[in-house]
Amino acid sequence: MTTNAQAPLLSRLFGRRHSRTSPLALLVRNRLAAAGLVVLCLVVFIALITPWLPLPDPNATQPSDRLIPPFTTGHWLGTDQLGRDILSRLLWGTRVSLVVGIAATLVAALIGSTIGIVAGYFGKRVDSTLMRGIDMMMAFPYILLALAIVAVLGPGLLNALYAIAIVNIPFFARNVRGVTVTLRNREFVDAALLSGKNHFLILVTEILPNVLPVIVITMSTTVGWMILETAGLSFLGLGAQPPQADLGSMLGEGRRLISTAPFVSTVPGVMIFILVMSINLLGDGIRDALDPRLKAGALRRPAARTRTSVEARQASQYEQRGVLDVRALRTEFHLDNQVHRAVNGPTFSIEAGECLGIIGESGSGKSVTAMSLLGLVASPPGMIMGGQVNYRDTNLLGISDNDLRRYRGGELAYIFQDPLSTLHPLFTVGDQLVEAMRSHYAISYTDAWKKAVTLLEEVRIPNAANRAHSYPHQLSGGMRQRVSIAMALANEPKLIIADEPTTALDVTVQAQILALLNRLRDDKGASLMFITHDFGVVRQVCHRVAVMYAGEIVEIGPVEEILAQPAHPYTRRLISCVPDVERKTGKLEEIPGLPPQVNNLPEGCKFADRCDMVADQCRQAPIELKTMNERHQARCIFAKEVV
Amino acid sequence: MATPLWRYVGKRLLLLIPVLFGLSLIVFFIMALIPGDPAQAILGSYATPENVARLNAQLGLDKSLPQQYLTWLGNIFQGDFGRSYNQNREVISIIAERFGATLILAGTALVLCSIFGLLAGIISASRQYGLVDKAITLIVLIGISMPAFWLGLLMIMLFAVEWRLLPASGMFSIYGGGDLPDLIRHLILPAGTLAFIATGVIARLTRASMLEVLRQDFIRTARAKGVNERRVIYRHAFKAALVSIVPVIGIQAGFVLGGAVYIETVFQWPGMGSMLVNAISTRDLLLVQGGVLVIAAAYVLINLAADVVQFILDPRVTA
Amino acid sequence: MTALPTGSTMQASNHLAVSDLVKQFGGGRSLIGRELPAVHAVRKLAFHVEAGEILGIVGESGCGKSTVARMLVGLDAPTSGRIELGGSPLAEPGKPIHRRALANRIQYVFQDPLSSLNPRKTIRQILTAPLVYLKHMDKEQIETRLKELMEQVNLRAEFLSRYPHEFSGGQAQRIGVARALAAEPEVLVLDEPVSALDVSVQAQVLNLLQDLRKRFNLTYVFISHDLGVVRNLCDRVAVMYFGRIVETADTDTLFSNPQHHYTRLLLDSVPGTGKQLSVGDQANAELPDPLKPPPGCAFAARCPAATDQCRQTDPELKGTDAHAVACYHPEK
Repeated sequence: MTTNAQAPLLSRLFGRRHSRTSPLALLVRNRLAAAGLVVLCLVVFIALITPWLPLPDPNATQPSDRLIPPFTTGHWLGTDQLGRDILSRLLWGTRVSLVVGIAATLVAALIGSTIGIVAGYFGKRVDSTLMRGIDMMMAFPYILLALAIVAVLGPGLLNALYAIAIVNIPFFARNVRGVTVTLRNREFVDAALLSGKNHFLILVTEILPNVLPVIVITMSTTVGWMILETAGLSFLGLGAQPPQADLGSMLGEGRRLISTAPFVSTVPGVMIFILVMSINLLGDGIRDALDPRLKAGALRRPAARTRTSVEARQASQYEQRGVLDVRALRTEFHLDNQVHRAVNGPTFSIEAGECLGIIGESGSGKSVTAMSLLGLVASPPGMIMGGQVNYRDTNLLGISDNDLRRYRGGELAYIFQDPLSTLHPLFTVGDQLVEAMRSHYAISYTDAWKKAVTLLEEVRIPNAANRAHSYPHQLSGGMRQRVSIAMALANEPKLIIADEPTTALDVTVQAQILALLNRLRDDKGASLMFITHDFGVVRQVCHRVAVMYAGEIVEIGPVEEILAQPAHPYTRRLISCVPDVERKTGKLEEIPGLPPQVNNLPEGCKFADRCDMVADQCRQAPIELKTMNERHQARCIFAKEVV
Repeated sequence: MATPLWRYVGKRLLLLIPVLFGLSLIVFFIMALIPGDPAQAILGSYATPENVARLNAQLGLDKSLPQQYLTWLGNIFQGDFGRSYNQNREVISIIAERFGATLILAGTALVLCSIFGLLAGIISASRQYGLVDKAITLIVLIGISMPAFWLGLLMIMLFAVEWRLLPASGMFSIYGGGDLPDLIRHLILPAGTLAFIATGVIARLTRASMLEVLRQDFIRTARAKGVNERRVIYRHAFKAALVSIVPVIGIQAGFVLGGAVYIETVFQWPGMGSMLVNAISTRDLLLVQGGVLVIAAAYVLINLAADVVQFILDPRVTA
Repeated sequence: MTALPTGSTMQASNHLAVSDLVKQFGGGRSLIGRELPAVHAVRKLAFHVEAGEILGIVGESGCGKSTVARMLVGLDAPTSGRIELGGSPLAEPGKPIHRRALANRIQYVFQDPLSSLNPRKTIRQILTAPLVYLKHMDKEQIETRLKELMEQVNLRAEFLSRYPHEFSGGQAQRIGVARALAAEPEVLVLDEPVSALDVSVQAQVLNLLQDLRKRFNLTYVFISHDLGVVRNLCDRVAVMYFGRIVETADTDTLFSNPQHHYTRLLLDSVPGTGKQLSVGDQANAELPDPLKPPPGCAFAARCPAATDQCRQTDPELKGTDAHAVACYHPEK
């Protein structure tokens, strides 16, 4: 459930070595949070200096001055039913409410987090005992438990504080436990154990630093709530006792005067609202700033289609080659004021019935290229900047959303990598197949279901009629990938784009799936675009292969020819650094260094820094594709013709 | 489908027994923590020594704590929650009288806040960072930051005192009321207030889970197979998001039941909440005990219902 | 020089030996005395590794190879069975594991290099921990040793002050190797150490591992699903299927003359070897239910040579050190 499409891709592209924006900077950039911070600072500042302000005694009654309306000299906010100055009571009351709210938060955070971290780390019996207790507390409606506690301890501000703190312990315990459990399963905890650290040390030095942001987030999002609840208890007469003022008790007292002197209750009401609102704004800001997912630009909803520049949409038409003809495709990610150029102009075409392999390492842009064809790159932050994707003599980048939708899963179908996360967990596989058909044809549900079962049989799923009623999690990885393939076949596609369809599978299952894809391509005559990082797989299923590096195609040509006579140094070295299962090679030939970062690409050859043949002219200007023979090109000035 | 569902419900009902048992234990021992002579505390400081002694015997306070608990539990099983010494009535009959009013108020509010919360969340998420999203976010934030009791007072000030549109308090008119339209007129303000406050949490959660779900791989799959965007949002994304929202609606029931305490006090709604507040301030502890236990039990049942809905929605949940 | 004492590891007796190793997850009885389902992750496993040797353990997901690795280093306690190192027991039934004593002799390299480094710690902090808690070094010794470790894994010493997220996968894995080396162990258990890496980087790490083994005469247990990697790195290979070793042999023997039908299937499934795949597209790759393991050979359902005997009794691993197979009808 928690895997998501974009995060791994984005972190693969930008995760390492990308600059981190500091949480404080993020907070200030968030205007609402900054406003909350300013207001809150102001309130806290006034509350702090209240004892030194020239204010009348908040508890001094003056029966002759009862209910003076606001904006009167001497009593700027008027007086209450006992003639006490409301401004003075308000400021002193704010002090009390703030102190009680924050104290309750700290107590709840300390106890709750300790319970959560211990339960989450040690698990098993400790966990179940502690969390049973927490569940018991959560079995009471929120305020009710506080009421019961106050009922026993007796009304009073301190008792209200205890009650509110106790009631909030479960929130901290549950949040912190959840994070701790995830951390506990991370390998660095095992690594620390193997480094000789004991459990206590691990808890304090390894887990706690990682849990701290969660505690801070929970605190900042609950403190406002706690202030509200303490005010509530005081409002009911169970918190602050007369004559002491806190915001809640002021409201409670003013309540009886609601028709005669509404300002008596309005003033503290507004104050509570301002206080809590500013805290909540700030709390949201803190949460956003500390949430690691937001840093990668995630939590933005990807649009139904990748944003496409005007230039790309209006590209002029030309004579199309093959079934699909891609020209100079450029896709970028715009993140943190930086441009990551993931796809830099690959040009290729696929013939009818042909299988074209796209091979490359992570970050080479092979998947983004595949996703760009039908606008499936997450956007924001993705954007197609230029190029053409021609199918049936139309540029798919320029057609309307609805026309594009008709092609998706219709004549052009996708198969994705991880079949567990790519199938909807809550619908049966039969249902998902039916939907694929009914999104394209007017066909009754029962007819579509029958066809779905046939499709499942076609991908060799045993007992297909029953399996159609299964949910994805009830199937093995290989079975799920067969379902994905069936789904791609549902509307008789002309081209199937398979994005690392066997990477997540075991080798024996992979062999079966590859055999299946080969058979289906032969039977149906559909073209196949096969994205992979494995030369073995390419050799197994592809006719031609395009090698990608840093968003460019560095070499393209027939598979056997490229494997036998690679023209580009990268291709050559990539092939030879794969350990061979057929013979022992002694020392492997490694490629030193790392691929360039896509937000800082060199001007000339992208591979220059790792190449052993590099010369000065390699770095001076972009390298053009050089023709080896009519079917084979390479992007290297040293590439020799292949006969 | 039917068999696993009923097996699940049966299993959950069985699991309810230890939970209710635990609840009673907590309630009992909280009351046992009362410092000093419990009978004195129950009867108040004006009680005569004879009354104190009689109550002590009646409550079996001369026995050990576990024995007391068992006796107390036995009584509760027979519907005997003891007597309210302020009202001089059986606690159970007071609760019976009050429970319906709270159920109407809290139930209406829960339904309203669920509907509005879900709608607001979906709309917000599908137009992320648009004008509608910003407006909803702001309203939701106001709801979360607003004290329920003050909002109630404001409502009374505006709708009842200023504009005289709706009644300020009570459940029925004293003269000539008692029918359904009268009840609804009285219900609008308190239920509306309670719902407004409670909507925020659901709306925010819905928005967040929708955004989370919309980034999942299976949404990309739905788009890649040509499903139209409305269907992607309302069928694929919403159903997946609902799985994480339903338990929160269950928890939200607790928030609504708790919020009813304030709302009932402000609007003088004759329910369990205002009863509890009165009972606490008059130290009518047996009434508090009974009230807390009944509301907690109701809450546990609501959460069970939420779990059952979850089970129906999500095939991965196993009994 | 704080490098490993090379003399002691030369003794032939100093090898890692595992016998009758069993691991079940779950199980036991519930409160009302009903037996809870147990997953049989590892079933009666036995193997040994000579000093300075690299034993490869290959198998597909769910075969229990990672569980074996975790038991070897003491991260999981075996349900039953013995693990011995150099003749002294590391794990015995009914005795608690002395994790620190164990960690001084046998160390672990994790699969996911980034997940195994705490994101909030610098490399210096990460590498210092074993030096302090296992080696009890003082400040000066630590400084010298840190530099030495970084040099051994070909990383610059100034990287010490950086955080894990600043590294690429390959660099992070080298830090993982450095941490394992810090304890100066005799044995390294490497659990899929290169499977998360791109091939060009994978070669860097594999070469490093080769060099380190020669330099410090280390013993490796190398867990992998990648047959190409295993063939090029390991001296001997054990093939696991469904919690058991089905075949073990010297690497060249196993790859040239596989006798178990599962080993044959694995080798035939490797794509791109030039020969057409003999594997069909039928879906028959399902493992048996680990809650209810079959009485006979776990591979029988997929095996072309399976007979009734295979389905009823589980074959024992039989043969020599050079080649042993658990099959009633081995291939010729």
